Amino acid sequence: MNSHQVTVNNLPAVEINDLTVAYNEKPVLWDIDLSIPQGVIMGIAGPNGAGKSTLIKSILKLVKPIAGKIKILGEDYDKVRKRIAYVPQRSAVDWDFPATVFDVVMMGTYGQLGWFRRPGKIQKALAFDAIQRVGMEEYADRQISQLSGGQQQRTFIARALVQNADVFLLDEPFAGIDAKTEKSIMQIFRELKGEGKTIIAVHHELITLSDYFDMITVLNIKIYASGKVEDVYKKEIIYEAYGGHFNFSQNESILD
Amino acid sequence: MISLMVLLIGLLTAIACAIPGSYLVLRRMSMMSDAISHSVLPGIIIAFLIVLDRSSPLIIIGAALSGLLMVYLTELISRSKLVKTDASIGLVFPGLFSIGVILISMQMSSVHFHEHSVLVGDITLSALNNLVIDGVDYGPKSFYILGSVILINLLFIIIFFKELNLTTFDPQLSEVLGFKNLTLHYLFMTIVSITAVASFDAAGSILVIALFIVPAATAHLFTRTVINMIIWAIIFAIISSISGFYLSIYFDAAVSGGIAVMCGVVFLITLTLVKLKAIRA
Ligand SMILES: Nc1ncnc2c1ncn2[C@@H]1O[C@H](COP(=O)(O)OP(=O)(O)O)[C@@H](O)[C@H]1O
Ligand SMILES: [Mg+2]
Repeated sequence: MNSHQVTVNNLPAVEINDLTVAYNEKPVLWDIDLSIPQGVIMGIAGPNGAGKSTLIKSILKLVKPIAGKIKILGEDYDKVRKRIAYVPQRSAVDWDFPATVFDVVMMGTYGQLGWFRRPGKIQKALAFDAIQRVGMEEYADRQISQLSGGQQQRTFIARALVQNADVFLLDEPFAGIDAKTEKSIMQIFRELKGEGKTIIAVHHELITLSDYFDMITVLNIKIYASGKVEDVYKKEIIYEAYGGHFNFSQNESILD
Repeated sequence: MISLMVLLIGLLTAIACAIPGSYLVLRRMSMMSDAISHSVLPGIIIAFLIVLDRSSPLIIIGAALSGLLMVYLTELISRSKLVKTDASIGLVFPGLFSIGVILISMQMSSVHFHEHSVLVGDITLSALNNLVIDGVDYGPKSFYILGSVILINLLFIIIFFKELNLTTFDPQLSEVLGFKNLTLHYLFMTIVSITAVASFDAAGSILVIALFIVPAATAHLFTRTVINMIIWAIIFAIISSISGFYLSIYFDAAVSGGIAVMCGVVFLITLTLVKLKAIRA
């Protein structure tokens, strides 16, 4: 391996400095500093309304920050667009849209194609591979409104896999899905990590947090802690970030 | 002969509207299409006052511009975050529409535009307005205008098919992948404006919305892909316009009214069949 490759590999997947975001003058992210190394599975945790989705959207330039710098793989977002995959919250799209699983997964190829170019054989083969990888081959022709929550989420994951990205950003990929899907998605994350990819996923279920992720960022407008699970997954930190919204009697034993 | 022309104009109008109508339904923009069909009025009147020919292509351009002005003003107001999008639509289009109505009542109460025909259209009038070059009669000008609009609409959807589907289904991913949602939005609104103007004679301001929305909404009840939805929307447009034409003759009513009623009837029949699980496409 030559020295150039080594420096590239040492760059953080995401590097955020002094990020502040507000909607209608109400700040929802305040002075965020965050560095996410490559090749990890990072969970972004925090209570409802903590700004987790906003953080993901800021990284993707979907919202405009008031202040701050964000680098992805050492570059500006526009330069590395094709190396990033995004899975929005499942509820962000209209599942009554007339499309099949295959149609939706194909959308993952549109970024590489750009304006006007039509998907061809290569793109179709990529889509089929991804559908197989998430175990949805039986449902490829099914209309998306006829899918269960878990199947919808797997369709979204397949669409992201098609992008063949290096950094995956996912908003609540485990929300409202069955245990089997949860396991198979985790399996895919681990495989991707094995290939040196970076997974960044919003997750607000505290119970599974430490099982799924190697690193955790605890967020509630500001960052309460970020780092390896064993350093961050602590009662004081979670309690502070979740405030009164967190029911300890139920989860205390897990956190000890 | 005239009534055959009227039938054909109604048919072409319904087809022209059904094509962008499918995306209007999927993008949940029926309010916007209603607003555009009202807002094209001042553009039509002002362009008419300049060229004094009701079927001049310049009228289409003038009207499309005032439709886009309405989209732009709406965008400006809702960006200010002071009111919601549908409220800002409601703020802009009555203003533009009333400017049109005032212009009509001031300038030409007995000339070419009647308030009534502005509302529900006057298809017979346009069936009588023929294209004559060097003494040769080529049939109603509307045929050529509507034919061109259908062609433009089809081309638009063919060229931007993948982009339209992506930005409609998942606008966030569309932006993330580097497509410009706003550019596509304005292009699409231009298409809707042009279609609204071309349909003005046959349907007027109020009933255009039925042609835009109802056949597409009917198709949306049971179709599994966008292509099928567009095809079925066109089929429903054809059925509704032909049956609506005969309905209006039977009741001696405005043709546009008959077509709008039949759009609704077709919707109800389809809805019943879908509930009974009888169709799937
Ligand atoms: N488009 C928006 N306009 C105004 N406020 C918003 C918008 N999106 C989110 N918010 C507000 O910003 C805060 C953070 O939202 P979000 O990032 O979605 O939180 P989370 O994903 O952690 O639940 C919430 O208070 C939410 O109400
Ligand atoms: Mg969220």
